Amino acid sequence: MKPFVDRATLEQTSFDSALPSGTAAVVHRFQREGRYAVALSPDGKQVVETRTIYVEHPRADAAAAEGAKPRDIVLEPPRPFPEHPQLPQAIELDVSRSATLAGAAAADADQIATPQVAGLVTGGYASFTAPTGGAHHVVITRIGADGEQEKEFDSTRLGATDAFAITLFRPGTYAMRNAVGGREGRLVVHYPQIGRTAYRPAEPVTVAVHERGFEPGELTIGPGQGVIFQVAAESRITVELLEPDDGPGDAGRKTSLATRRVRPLVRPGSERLDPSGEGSPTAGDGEPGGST
Amino acid sequence: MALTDHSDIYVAVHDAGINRIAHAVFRQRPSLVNLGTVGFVRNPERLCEKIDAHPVVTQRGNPLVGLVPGLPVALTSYTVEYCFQVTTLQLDVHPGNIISLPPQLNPPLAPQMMAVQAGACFGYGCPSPDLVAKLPYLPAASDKPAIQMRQNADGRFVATPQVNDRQIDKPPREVMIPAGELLCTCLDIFGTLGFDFIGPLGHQRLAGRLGGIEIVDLAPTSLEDSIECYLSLVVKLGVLPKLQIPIIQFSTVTGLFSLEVEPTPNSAALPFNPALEDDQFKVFLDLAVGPGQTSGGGGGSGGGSSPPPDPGVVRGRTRTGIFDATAALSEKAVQELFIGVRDGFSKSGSGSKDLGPFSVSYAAEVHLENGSIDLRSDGSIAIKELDVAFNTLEFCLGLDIPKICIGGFCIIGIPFDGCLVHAPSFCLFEDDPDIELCLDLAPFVRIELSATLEALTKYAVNSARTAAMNDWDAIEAGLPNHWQIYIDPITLDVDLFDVADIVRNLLEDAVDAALDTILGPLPGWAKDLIKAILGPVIDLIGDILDLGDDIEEWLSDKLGVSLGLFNFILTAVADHLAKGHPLAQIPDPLTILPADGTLIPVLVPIEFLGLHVDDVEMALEVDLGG
Repeated sequence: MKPFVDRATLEQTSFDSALPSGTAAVVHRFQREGRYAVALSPDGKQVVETRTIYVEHPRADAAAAEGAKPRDIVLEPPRPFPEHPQLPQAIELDVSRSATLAGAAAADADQIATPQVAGLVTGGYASFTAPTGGAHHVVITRIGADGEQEKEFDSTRLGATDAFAITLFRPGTYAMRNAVGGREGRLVVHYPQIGRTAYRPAEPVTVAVHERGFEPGELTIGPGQGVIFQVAAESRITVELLEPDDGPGDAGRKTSLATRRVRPLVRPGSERLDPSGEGSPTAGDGEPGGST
Repeated sequence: MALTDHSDIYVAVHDAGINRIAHAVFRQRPSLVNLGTVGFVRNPERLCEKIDAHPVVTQRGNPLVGLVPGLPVALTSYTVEYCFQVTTLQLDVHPGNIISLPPQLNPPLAPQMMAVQAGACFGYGCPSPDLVAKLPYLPAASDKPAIQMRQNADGRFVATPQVNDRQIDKPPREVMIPAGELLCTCLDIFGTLGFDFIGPLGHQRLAGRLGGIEIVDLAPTSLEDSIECYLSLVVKLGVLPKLQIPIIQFSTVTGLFSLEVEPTPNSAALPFNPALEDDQFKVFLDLAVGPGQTSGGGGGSGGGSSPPPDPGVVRGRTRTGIFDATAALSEKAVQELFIGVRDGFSKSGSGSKDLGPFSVSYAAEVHLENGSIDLRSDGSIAIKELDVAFNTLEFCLGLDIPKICIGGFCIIGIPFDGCLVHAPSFCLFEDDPDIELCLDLAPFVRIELSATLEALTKYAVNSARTAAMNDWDAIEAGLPNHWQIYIDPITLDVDLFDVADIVRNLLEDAVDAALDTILGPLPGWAKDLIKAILGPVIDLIGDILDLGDDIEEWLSDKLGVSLGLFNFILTAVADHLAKGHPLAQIPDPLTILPADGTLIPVLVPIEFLGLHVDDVEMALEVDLGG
């Protein structure tokens, strides 16, 4: 019987753009055609696996620009995607090791593509993530026609136009840090409240990462609400739990979900009373998760 | 006027029916009414009257003549052969219209009396004078075994079976002298009988009472009187006590209930009980229904392994006039029996079904409460508002909580055209089913059953019976044909009702508890988060189960239709009431006298069996075959 919840992901309290895993993902945009080598490293030094991404113009554009094809674009061996007339605008790559995927984390393998060779149109995006605990540093190098190498992306140093997205569940106060510039911010995940309607996290909050810091530098969100860090300056973003919020504790926690549909009591000649005593609706659907 | 105006039960047998039964006994058990010494047993053709026996009697080697000891010759150990035959027997219940009584019995037949006419022959095997002359003196001796004399070729008499000379020297107890000429005397014997209930209350028996007896054309009168006196003694002290019929006192019917039946006391409205009138022998009885002696536990849903009954067909009556036998139950008695059946009824069953987003199952044991039965003038029977209540009703749900995914939000969007890159999503409850729970709904659920029933009879030919079998073969093989009594439903309504509102709360609490169980290992904040995401249980289960506002309707649909609980109840009731399940089966032919050793049973065909219902009583009507 499959567990009804992935506890490691649910209880994840540490996020690092250099090692995207769990509910975290790093997004990079490929602006130029070419062949790219994706190197995975557990420690930023030793490469344990390499994959390839081919980036090319959309086919119609490619045919029109036949004569203007950049010299350094080499599709050798021959274009590996003859069956795909159009390459995708976005791909999602699992940056855990294939061997790992084939083993313990295989249950989630079907959710994320793990090709050794992938294709993408020019200007397309690749997102990188891994099952909790299986992340690797990602370094992408563009391979020129003569074999020359040019670093395109390094997850330890996100560049402008890159993005880092996380989903936080654990209530508490988190520190947002940029390891490159030493900037720091605060992020609070408030405690969930069981209400009369099913709680659904609000839309994700976007945080700009500038050289001068995070903007906004402090924010409060609901549990399960996403945060998208839009990188405007070189950065390595980490989010770590500083102080957990355990809510009312077991004594104060509601032990029953059985919120009754209790008809409002109406005393003759009086206004309606709410016998539940729960007052106004709690944070729930559409609860704002904006900055403070 | 109804048959049961003054009693709960009415039983009547027409004199024509009694005579048919007597005729069957005469033909199928001739040794009961044809008695003779050993010579007649061996050579029935020597009897005064030829016996008209049923062919099966001879096929099975049954004796035509019942053995009796020889007629003693006074002062000797000799006996003489003789035979006694009842050649005809007729009964005529008041008013007399079959038998012409002799003047000595003061015709016409008195009210509340029954006339009997029997033809009887006595045959005396008079030994030839030559034989008698050769017989030695043989003094009477009662302590020796019976031996029959047989004459050898040389004229000398020897004892049979063979014994040695030493034994011959000892005087035998009885020596039968072979018959010479058979001297037959045949007479008509008339009698009148009345009937009474005798014995203490609670142990009453139906007993005959001899009114008078007359032997016609026997002279001199003193001899006639002497013989009539003797016959009266035989009838009063021998025949009638043997024919006393005990009235049923207690009888457990299939363990459901017990019956106590007593004669209805005489009153101004019912001056005679039993009554001999209208050519019928009538008995009026009162009925009391008590609780059954169940052996614990209800009937299982599987039931026994007895083969299904053969399908019957409606068979119409070919005769007209009064039935040979009639048994009627008053509406009050039917109501008492209904209460007995209702109070003794218990059945159990179970079922399960996968309904996609959830699965359901039940285990139930039911009993019956309330309700009434009403006989109607149109011949139907109405059962109204019979409650099917539950001793146990375990209702189990397997809930597949819909998969809920958090995250997966859009990181890179396409303006006005969706999303290009999504964040990883995190999903809960991907298993099926996620939680399982059971509720004991027995105290909160009731089912009401109403039905309109039609009582009818059908005749079923036993499909296992071969063409070569006669009735006796079939009875012995346990393969008789049957008359079947059905109470067929014309309309049958089963409604779930009176589902207490608390059932909804029970369901919510059970789901809540089940959720707490599966969330148990998680930290408190995670439980609260997941519960917040799931929302109120009432909404959760409402969505999963498509519960709606009317839990009664929902339960009725799931229990009654999806799980087939209604079918189970209907089947349980149908075991007693519905088509394909006869209420009772009466073998045809009917066994009047059971087999006795090698003697075949006396069987009487049931030519017709019908049920008649009106607004005051239910009557079973029977015609017997000839």
